[in-house]
Amino acid sequence: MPPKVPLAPPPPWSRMVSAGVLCALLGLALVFGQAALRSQQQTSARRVGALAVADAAVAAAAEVDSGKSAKLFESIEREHQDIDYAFAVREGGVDEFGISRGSEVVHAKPPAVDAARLLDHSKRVSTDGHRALEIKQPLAVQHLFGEMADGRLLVAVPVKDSSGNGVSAVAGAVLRKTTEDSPPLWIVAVLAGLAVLLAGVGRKLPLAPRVVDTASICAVVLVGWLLAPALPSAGPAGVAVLGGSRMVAHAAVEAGGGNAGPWLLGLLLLAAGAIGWLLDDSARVFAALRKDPVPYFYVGPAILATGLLIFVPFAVGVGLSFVDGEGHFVGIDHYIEVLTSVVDPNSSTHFFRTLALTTLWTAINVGFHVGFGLGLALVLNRPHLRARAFYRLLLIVPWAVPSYITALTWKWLFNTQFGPINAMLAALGHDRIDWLGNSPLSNFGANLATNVWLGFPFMMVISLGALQSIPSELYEAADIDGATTWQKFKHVTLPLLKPALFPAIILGTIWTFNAFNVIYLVSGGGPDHKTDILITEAYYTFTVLRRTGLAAAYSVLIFAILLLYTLITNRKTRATESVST
Amino acid sequence: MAGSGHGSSGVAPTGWQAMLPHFLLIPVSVITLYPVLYVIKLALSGTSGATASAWPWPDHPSLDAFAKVALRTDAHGTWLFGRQLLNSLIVSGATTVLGIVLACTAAYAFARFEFPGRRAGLLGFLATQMFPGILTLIPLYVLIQKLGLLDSMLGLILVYSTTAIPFCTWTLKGYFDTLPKEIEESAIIDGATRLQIFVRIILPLSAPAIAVTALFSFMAAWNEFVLAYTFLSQEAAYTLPVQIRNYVGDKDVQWSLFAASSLIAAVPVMALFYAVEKHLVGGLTAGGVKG
Repeated sequence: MPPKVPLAPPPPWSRMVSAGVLCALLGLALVFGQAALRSQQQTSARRVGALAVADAAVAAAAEVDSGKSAKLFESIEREHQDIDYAFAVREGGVDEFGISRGSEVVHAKPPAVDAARLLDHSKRVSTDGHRALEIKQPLAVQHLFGEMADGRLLVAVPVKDSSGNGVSAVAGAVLRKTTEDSPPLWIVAVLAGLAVLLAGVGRKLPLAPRVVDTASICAVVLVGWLLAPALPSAGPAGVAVLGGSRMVAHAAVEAGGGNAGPWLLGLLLLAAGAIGWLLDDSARVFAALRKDPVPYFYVGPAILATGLLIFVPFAVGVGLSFVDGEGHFVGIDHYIEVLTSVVDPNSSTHFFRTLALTTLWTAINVGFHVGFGLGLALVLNRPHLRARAFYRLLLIVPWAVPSYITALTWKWLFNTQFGPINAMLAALGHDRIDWLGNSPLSNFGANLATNVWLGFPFMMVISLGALQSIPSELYEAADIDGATTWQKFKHVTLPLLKPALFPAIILGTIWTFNAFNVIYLVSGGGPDHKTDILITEAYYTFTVLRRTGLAAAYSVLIFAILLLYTLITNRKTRATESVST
Repeated sequence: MAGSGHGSSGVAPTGWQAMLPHFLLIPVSVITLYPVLYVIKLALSGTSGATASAWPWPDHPSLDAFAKVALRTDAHGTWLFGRQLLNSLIVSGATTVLGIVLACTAAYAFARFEFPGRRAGLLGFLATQMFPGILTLIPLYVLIQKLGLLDSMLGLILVYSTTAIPFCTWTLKGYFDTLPKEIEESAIIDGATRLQIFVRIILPLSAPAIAVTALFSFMAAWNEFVLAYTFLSQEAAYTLPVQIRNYVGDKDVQWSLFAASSLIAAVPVMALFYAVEKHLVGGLTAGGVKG
């Protein structure tokens, strides 16, 4: 093994300077990110407004036969300051002699523009709009947006004909260009200065340099994040939203859903944390990379892949927990809400009840897994056991069956009317039990039975492997010393099982704590969330309540609990000590 | 009841003492097999549904449910079951190959090189096992959407294989740790490069561990349904778990179709599991047992 790369620790002032420089870079990313974000928000707002205008244009175009449409178009243009003009292009249709009349401009300013020229403003709008008119079919999308070369925004909506199946016209509007602005660049200098200051002051604190660096760089990013939107700017030229139509509501949801704010904050915080933590190490990594890059070729692809598809989404998820549905930064409000109030307004279960249940669930499950697993392994490991291999093959069946199939199968076994468990009870003269009904206890029992069945083979296989690796000489020596069976188990078997069993128990605990499939598919958390564990509650918050930020806060808390558990048990059992070998 | 390892000497017990373990093992085996037998009963009960009895054999065996599941087509005449089976096979196969290649190289570096960032990398991989899936679900959805990979197999393959990397890396690293370094040292003296050692010596020696981790990657991809359910919206793009889950959805519950399709989906993965089964112990626990 090549020797460690000897590197002197960098002097304190160099860390302060690096912190300043890196924060300046982060500040730049922040400014440009904020600018991009604002322009995206403005575009979204403009699009929602534009659709409202297009909606009005559609209504105006529909009145063309009654002669009111010109007045309606004029009022649209009067009401909306930021539109250039509204227009409608009508398909002429086929007259009674079967002669096509071609496209007809109902309204446009300047009035001399023909239909083809009008729609040619934007290639996509023109192609799709013309096609819609030609084949008289509604578009795959309900509205068309096009950025015109001069910065104006074109929106067009196909107008359905009276039958509702075809298209009779394309109506829309052209919106003027708006000015976009970004936070001023001096914020970068302020952030860098703040970083140097914090890193310098932090040096005096009785904390590890890493912690100080990480905390101060993260703090600087947060300050920048909070400060940037408050900085003077012209602000987006707002488009009055008429509202009322389903299409506009849909677009508004789309505009809100595509918000990049959480992404940016998450990425920046991840970068800040990583930079702070790795301020020392990065210097070492770069030195090592120059000296011997081979190890990095081997780990590089895996690190890159997990970084992009696990760590970045994770950081973004953490960022989401600080942001509400409309993209506003809400600080730790979601965490406070998770911890202090009931998540589902129709239910009485709160976080700490669910946490207690999750802990109980995990403890009972892992207890049974280890108990059954180890017990069966000891029996299977008996000398001279016949059909050992056969039993082993049968007993690991639950591990081989896909867990979602297991869960759904057990749901059927517990079915009140047709389930075999109730059929057995009936055969014994007992009343049927509504297992997955109103009793939290029977629901919990059903979940538990499923998960115990599912999980004991893993522990059994691990125990069996560890038992077989214990040299028989140890037992022979114990026999000579006159040890009883129990003494042999306690003083020989158990201590030698520990190295294999502890990592398995930690892993099993994490898996059971997040045993989503079983709870979600068997009891579904019912009745009234009383058998929900934390992870299913978070999923409910996300999918049913549609509260992304709250679900993210929930998930971050789950992660924190698991991390704490692992750190504590790891310190006690040294289960992952192979890291440092 | 703690016994010595079964390689030890001793007199074979006779009579009821030899029978004693079987009194325990037979009932436990029956309980273990019962749910599986019951799925078979459900699947063979035809589409009309099973009767309520505890006996795990259908009264009137019929293959109707299998026929209905396997012959499903959509409005365009696409053979849905075939498509979905193929989707599952391609996604799981590609996930396994990609995940194992990346995990093997990473595990080798973690096991054999000392380099700055090694500890952070290992601990970071460990931490991913604690990331709740829901936290990454939303950003992943947006990411896959932006890449235009919704309803595509490539999107699932990318996500599944990266999710598999940390666990596979840890398992393989544990195994690589147990291989004696002397083999490599003598190979270096013979003039072999690191890459040659890795490909020609380490990988063949680690075949059992690689088989086990490959099995787990395959199983994870084959069985996953939350992400697949989120990313896929067209029936022809579904993987089998999404389809199976839909048979027992909220509106429409068809237990016999669920059972039949479950059996079809479970057979390949169980076959793989039993093919690799004898390596489970060595492949999984080598690192841990070493202590």
